[in-house]
Amino acid sequence: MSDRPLTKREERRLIRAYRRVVLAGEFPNPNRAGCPDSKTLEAMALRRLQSEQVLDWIEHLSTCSPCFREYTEFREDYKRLRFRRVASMAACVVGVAAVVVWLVVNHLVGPGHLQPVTIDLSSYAALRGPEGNAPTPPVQLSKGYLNLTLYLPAGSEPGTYDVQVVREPGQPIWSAQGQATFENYKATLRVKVDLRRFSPGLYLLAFRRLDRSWTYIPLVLK
Amino acid sequence: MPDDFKTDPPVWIWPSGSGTAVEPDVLDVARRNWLRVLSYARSHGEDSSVAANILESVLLATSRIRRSSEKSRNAIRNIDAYVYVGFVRKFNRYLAKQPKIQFVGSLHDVHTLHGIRISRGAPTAEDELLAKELLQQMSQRTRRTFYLRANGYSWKETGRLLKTTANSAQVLFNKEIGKLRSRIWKTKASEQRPGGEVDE
Repeated sequence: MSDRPLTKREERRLIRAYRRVVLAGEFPNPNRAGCPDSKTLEAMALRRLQSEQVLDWIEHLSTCSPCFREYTEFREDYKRLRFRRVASMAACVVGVAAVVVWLVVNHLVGPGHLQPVTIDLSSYAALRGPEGNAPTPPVQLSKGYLNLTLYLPAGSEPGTYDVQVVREPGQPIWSAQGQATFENYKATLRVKVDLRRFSPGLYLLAFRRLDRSWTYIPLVLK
Repeated sequence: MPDDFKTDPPVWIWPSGSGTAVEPDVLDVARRNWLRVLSYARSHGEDSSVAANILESVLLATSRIRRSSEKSRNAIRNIDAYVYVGFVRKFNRYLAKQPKIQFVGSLHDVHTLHGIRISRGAPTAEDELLAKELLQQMSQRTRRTFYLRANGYSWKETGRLLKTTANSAQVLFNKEIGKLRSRIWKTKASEQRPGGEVDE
């Protein structure tokens, strides 16, 4: 065998072997001759002892099984405590990070993408007379977080309105309430609607003045 | 001996061959540690007379060292630990010289191993023997490094305590252990050969 130095693995193994020897009682000390007090051992375990004092006691500690056992217990307690501290700190950091991400995604990023969209429904007015209602193209909206301005059909009155997006009448997948006011002689309703989570397709945009009947407009979500 | 010295049997320290008395504080160390060294000797199957003889020689040597170099008294940081470690080393050397007696920690036990190697996985009884054998031959600095590491000090902390860098402490330690391991292996090889020659 050559004089090759110990590898890290060999060193660890040798150290563990020696620790086992001492813990098994290789160096008995029935009357605890020359032993430091428990406070000194604890201070060593917590690494709070001055360098000079460490060097004073290290030889005794390594050749006194009772002291070594006591020191090892202090050390294990310290490691457990440190692990708990690190784990709780890590949990706090993860929690704070999660809250920050949630805030960024839902409150900072969201409003930044608020898109103003205007839908003019004045042509959807129900006409009386022999000509009836001409077929009207569906309203088209893009998916997104929308600041929706609805120009209600001619003849609509200001007041509280319910607005819904439905697949079928009576099954809303989104609903809101808003106040319609007259702007430039048009009844105008403003609501915010988040259509990001809906899949593209055909829907119905429903609205009504409070306690009145619903009006349904075809809506294509792109 | 004072009356309150109640270990059984008591330790008697005679003046050294030159007739110089052992210093009182060294005698106190002997009194304090007698039960400890006796326990160590008994745990290795030896009786109190062997322990007493070895402790006496260690005390005389310690006393002589302290007298010869008054200025370097500070070199002995903890006289209890110094005397005890001296006793353990000397006692283990004594054990190693005992022919055909099988005991834990002897070089004879190490000889039964399939080469002085540190195998992988959890440490075995062979590793324990090797660790003890290596400790017998380490220099004081390496032994101190070993003790620090055994007490969970990182290389960075060990380097700081020994007033050197972590890397330097680690390299010196691993090199010396490597050499000692090789020396043990060569001793083993020579003792196993009929002629007892050591291969270089």
